[in-house]
Amino acid sequence: MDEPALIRAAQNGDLEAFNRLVLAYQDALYNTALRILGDDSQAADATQEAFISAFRGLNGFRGGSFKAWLMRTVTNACYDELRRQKRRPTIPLEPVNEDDEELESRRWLADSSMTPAEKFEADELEHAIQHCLASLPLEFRTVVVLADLQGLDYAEVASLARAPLGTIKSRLARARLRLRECLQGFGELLPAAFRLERESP
Amino acid sequence: MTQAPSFRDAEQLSAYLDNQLSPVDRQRLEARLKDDTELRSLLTDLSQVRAILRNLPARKAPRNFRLTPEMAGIRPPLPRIFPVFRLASALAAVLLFFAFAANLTLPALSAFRAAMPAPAMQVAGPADRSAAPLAPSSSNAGVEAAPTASEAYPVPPAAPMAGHGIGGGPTGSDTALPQATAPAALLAPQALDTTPTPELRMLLPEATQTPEIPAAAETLTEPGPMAKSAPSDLNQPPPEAPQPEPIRAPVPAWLLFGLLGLAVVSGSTAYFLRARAEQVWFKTYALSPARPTAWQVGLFILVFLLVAALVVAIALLSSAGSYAP
Repeated sequence: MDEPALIRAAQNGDLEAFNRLVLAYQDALYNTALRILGDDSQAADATQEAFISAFRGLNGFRGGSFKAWLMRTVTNACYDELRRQKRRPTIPLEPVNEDDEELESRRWLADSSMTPAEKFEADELEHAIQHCLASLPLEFRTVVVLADLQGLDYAEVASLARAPLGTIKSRLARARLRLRECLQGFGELLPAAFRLERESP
Repeated sequence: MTQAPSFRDAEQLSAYLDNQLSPVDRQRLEARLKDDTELRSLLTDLSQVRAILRNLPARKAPRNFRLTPEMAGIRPPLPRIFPVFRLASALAAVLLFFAFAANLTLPALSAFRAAMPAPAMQVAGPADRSAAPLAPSSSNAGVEAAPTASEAYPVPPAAPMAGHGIGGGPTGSDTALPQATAPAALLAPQALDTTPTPELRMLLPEATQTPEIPAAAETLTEPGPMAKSAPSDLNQPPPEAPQPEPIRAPVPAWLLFGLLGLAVVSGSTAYFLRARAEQVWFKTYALSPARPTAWQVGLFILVFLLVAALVVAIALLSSAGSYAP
């Protein structure tokens, strides 16, 4: 995929070219929205909104990382969605039991390549991570999602969050510390998670 | 030396994990890590958190987020000549509206104005009375009798005559005064035979015995033939008011038909140009063309009926040729 050529064509109004870029980035944008918002349908809406506003504002893209530019649009769409939620709070329609716990997770059915045991484990771990992410303040959550989940560097995150580099470093450290504390509460899941390959600096 | 790490240490460790420390800070931190077990433990924890997040399996997008032309706000490219037809259709429709409205309203308005003087003559009675004192002093008795007589004998012939010939203005009342008052005074005894009031008995002989009234009126106002013949017509039924001239519509029918044709033809051409452009557009993006909605069908029928009604209305009005009041 010749990304610069597709971007130029899309800037000239070629919708097909833009849709090829959509196919390339839709998973990344959806996952970002999902981790920030914590809800499948809201994440899908925010992703669609992000692509629409990206196409309309494509002439504002002046080069650099296109992925980072798209991440900014999806982050803005997530903020809009959260503002809407604040104005009109809704009650989720997920089935719950008497203890107010979800009866059936839709995430359970998401990936068919895992065995049921793996699915269960992954689902539970994902639940735990999502729970801990949701407990973070929004600005910390955004930074940790962009840096650790999407792999953007500090400069890109700083540009995207419109914050100085030092602020991004500080927010990321605080977010990781809080996540550590939160994840320690899911002790039975962590051993499997901590068997993951350790990354050396 | 083991000391509980500060937030500043955690920040340095976090940046160290991401290779965001300067070489000097990096060397200093690595030197501390060799001796500080607490710091190493914190580094391990932060590294594990980072690894968990980075290894979290990415979810597949639940659906395709490709944009449709509608989402992107893109409309099919229309031919360059499309706006010309659209503008022509709109202009013709507007002109047709005003021309048709002018044809309907102006003749009716003119007819209404033409009909106005007849009722105005009823107002001319009091005008006569007010004009009476202005008559010469030699005919005082006759003039004083005139209002009473004209009230007792309404003079129908004066209305159409004044209505068409003069128009009921101040000069009209001057000329009408001798017609209305003098004959009425002459006829008054016949009508007053049954109820002669003392005042009338005093006035009427004077009126009948003053032959200079018509003469004085003639010398004062030089009455035309109508005034001269008026006394002889009094015993005859009032002549019928002449039918006013038919008022023609200001815009000819051929122009209305031309405007209607232009509006319909250019509008249809613009519609078909757009439809053809949309077909090409839908093929390009492999979209299924939108089916016409109920209100679109209703609008089409309404426009068709409106055009048909206009054709009938113009034809009827043009066959009539004019508008009678």
